[in-house]
Amino acid sequence: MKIVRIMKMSLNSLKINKMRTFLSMLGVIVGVASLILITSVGYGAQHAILSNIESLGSNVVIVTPGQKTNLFRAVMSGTSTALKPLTYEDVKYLKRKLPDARISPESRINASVKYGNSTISTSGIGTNVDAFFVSNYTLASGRRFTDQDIDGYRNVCILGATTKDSLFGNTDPTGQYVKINDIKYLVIGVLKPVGSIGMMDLDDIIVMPITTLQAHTGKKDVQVIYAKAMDDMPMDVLGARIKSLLIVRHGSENFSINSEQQYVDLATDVTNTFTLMLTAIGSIALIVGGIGIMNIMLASVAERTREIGIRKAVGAKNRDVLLQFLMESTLISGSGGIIGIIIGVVLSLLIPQSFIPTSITTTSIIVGFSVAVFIGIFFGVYPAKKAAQLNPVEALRYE
Amino acid sequence: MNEIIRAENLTKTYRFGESGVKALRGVSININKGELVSIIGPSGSGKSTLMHLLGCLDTPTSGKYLLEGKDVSKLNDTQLANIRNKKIGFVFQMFNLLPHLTVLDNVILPVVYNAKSNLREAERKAMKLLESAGIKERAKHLPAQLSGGERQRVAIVRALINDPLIVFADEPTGNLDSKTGLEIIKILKELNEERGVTEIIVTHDPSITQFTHRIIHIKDGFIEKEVENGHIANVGEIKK
Repeated sequence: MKIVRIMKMSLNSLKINKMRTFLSMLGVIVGVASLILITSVGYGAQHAILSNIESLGSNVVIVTPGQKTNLFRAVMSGTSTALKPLTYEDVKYLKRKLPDARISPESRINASVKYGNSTISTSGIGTNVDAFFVSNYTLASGRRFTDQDIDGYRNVCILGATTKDSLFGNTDPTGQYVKINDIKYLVIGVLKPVGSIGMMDLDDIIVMPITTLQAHTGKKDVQVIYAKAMDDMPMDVLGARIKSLLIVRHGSENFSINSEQQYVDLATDVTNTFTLMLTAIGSIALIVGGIGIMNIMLASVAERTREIGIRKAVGAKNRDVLLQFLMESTLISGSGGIIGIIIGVVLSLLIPQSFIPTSITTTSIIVGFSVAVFIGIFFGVYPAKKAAQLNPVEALRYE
Repeated sequence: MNEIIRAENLTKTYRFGESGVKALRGVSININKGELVSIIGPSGSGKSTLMHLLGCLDTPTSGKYLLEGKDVSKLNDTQLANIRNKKIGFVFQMFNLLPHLTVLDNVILPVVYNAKSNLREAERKAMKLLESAGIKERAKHLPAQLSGGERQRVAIVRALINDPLIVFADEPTGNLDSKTGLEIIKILKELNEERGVTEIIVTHDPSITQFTHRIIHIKDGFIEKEVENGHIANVGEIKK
């Protein structure tokens, strides 16, 4: 096969100048490695977020303040801009009207938690008893909130797994007192760890009664209300009933009701956008790498003008020369692609899963390699054509 | 007579923007099989251009060129490359070996470009030819490790590897000292006498023409005169 012979020539030429070959590969190596790394982080984050949303529990109706047509904007713009916030009174009202549903509020504050000499910053969450049925809260030790804790504004709290580890280590905190924003709370329990979404540690929390939290902060609003039917009422029926109840109570529809599925869609959208954006950046690196290859190949064609003349004199056709140079650029980018894939895979395996979850897909490896080969062909065509079209007489005369 | 080259009224004009340089102004030439012909002329006379046209490295601006009776003056690049590959061998002043290939790989380079060839066979043939040129033990060396005379022998072997119809030698001794130059001339002469290889030697050195059958003098793009060599010299007789 002539093509094999020409490929051998290309390989030989690349071996002659190893340093230059490697340098011209570098752009593609960096580009492909970053593409692999980015997509594996992207897929990993998506996977983690989705599994966490799913672990929230199925059939959960999510009420947020403010009427937003676009869920994405609703999340991005936050909740503080809502004219009429949701309140704990809304939660109590809904509970009275919907006795077969579990309804829990969620209000978040920055909590500075002190035990003994150590102080940590964490996320303080105010909620009620129903959170244990609606959200993914499961006790590792101690007890849940009771109605008395909530209604009595008791200074009790339950620690997330990370919070417990950083304050108490291996000792059981139940029965101990901690200070949250300088107010003394009794620790009544510890939650089982649930993991993290991206860089957000879901166990880095401290949970307290919504009433206590509101009394100490003066905040009246809650950021989210979660609802879940305990009988076989379908989710959309529950959503519709909450909607009509709240419209009556608020006088207008100044809130949004979403299902878990919509959050899944949102999370997918967000991570896809994020991945696409980073992929675009990686692609720029690849294009720059391709231009680098073109540069080197053009220099190489100029430097090897005489060689091309000799080859043509002994009978190399234009397409033989074209093929030789095209293969050189493709071999450069293809091997750059393989090295890039290896580096990208190794780097994503080196990232601790607890820090950023990564997930390497065969699609990204195949795409990475194909893009690299394509870059070599695309940016190699022009220099190769230049080489192929050299006039043999002039090429032989070239000093 | 067994005519293999018949060129009629060849002209070649090189264009430089608006103006043109007439390198050949109408040259007619016939070469028979087994002939050893020298083309001599001062630099700029057009002898190299003539060799490029006859060697199918370039096409004439006008005129007709029949190689083995076939008109090759209007062929495209690919067809010319095929002819160079199968019918023509070149020996250059600058040797023109590829510096990164071994002697053996340089010799079989023309075979590599012939899709239907067998490289093993070509290597065996190359080794035989290198042996008869006295440089068999150099087969695995790089050109840089060889002397000038050895390099030119490699170039001659490369020119012969495809059993060409005709071998063109462009100032084959121009880069060699006179003693080594004579050795190369001896090889070229023996190839013609013993193997019947048709050769055209382009030179500006009159002493080299002494062992050729016919001497074609070129000046200013014309054939000035054509001389049948009455006394074909032996290598020992060639006077420098």
